[in-house]
Amino acid sequence: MINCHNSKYIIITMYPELINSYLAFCQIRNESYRTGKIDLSDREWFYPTTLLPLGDHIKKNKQNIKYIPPTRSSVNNYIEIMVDSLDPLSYDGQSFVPLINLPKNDTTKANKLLCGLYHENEWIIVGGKEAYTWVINELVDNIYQHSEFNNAAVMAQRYERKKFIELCFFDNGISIPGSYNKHLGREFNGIEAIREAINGLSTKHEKGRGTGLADSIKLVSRGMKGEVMVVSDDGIFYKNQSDIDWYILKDEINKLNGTLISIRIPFQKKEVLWYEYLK
Amino acid sequence: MNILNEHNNYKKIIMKNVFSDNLALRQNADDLFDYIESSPTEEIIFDFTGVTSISRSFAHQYTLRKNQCNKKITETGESVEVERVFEFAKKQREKQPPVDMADVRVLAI
Repeated sequence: MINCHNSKYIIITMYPELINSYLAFCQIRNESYRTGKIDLSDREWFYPTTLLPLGDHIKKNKQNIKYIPPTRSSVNNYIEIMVDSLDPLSYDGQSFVPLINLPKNDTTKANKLLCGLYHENEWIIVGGKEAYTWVINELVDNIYQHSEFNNAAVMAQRYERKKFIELCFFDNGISIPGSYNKHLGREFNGIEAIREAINGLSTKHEKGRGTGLADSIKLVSRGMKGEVMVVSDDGIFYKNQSDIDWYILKDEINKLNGTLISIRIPFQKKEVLWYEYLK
Repeated sequence: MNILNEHNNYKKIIMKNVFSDNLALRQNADDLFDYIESSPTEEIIFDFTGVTSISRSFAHQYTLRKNQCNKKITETGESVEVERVFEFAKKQREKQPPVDMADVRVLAI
């Protein structure tokens, strides 16, 4: 049992950048509730970790919140793809758009759309195709298996100067604690539920289930030398090569309705062999 | 489903044409077996030629459903990469948490 009494909290102000990116979304969302508008006109860029939940928030609230889009077209394009549920291939013609809305009831189409993320330019710099597709396939599959989403998206953005790729998986479904509550009748807070998911507690009954999240975290943090953040309801799990941190979102306004998994993988030359890390 | 080769005695299913060169989702494997179980053909050949990546989830579900299926099912054209994931999916693994939960530090935001 993770002790969550107030006396055990450690209040800190410096967070890893992935967490700051999630909090940047919370800040925009909270401001929109306070003022009745979302003004992104001067925003030059967002990390996927901010962009995906923000796109969902705009989509859900576009009738009752005044929305001013970013003037920069590339940023606006991404938000439009999410808000208007556009198919990135038809939206942008020939060019590579690294954001995919996951179709709710068509997993055959989802499978085909995912191939849009598997460009050699991307996987070759972060450990090779096998490890890269492993992580994306497993985390997208988890969304379809467990989240019961209305809106879900995956994005892979390459940062040339910072030398990493950020992968982001978002769904606005029932969250990890919500899934355990619904299917197993067990009540967990966010961090307890994320811990159980990492430890392999599955809502499915077949043998061999419940390994996708743990394997992905292991492969990213050990094999690809990257970092992972999982946000679900009021819990955050963060892991890089050396540290693990758990955060509880005490403030209701920072909670996430759904699940967000963000990953940063540094550029690397050596191929990462998944079978050396997953045994 | 897009079945390219159908003969009197067997069906050959080209996986790349039905899905893509990446087999990602557990549900895709379920859909595949739901389809062949509803078909009168007793012998099915799954052709993996051109499939370059497969998820552990797809391979696991494929294996589960194949074991439950009464039809004669064979595979052809698997790459080394695809075979490796199938072998991995068949293993009974002990769950090994990637994080040590004994000393958990909880921070508040």
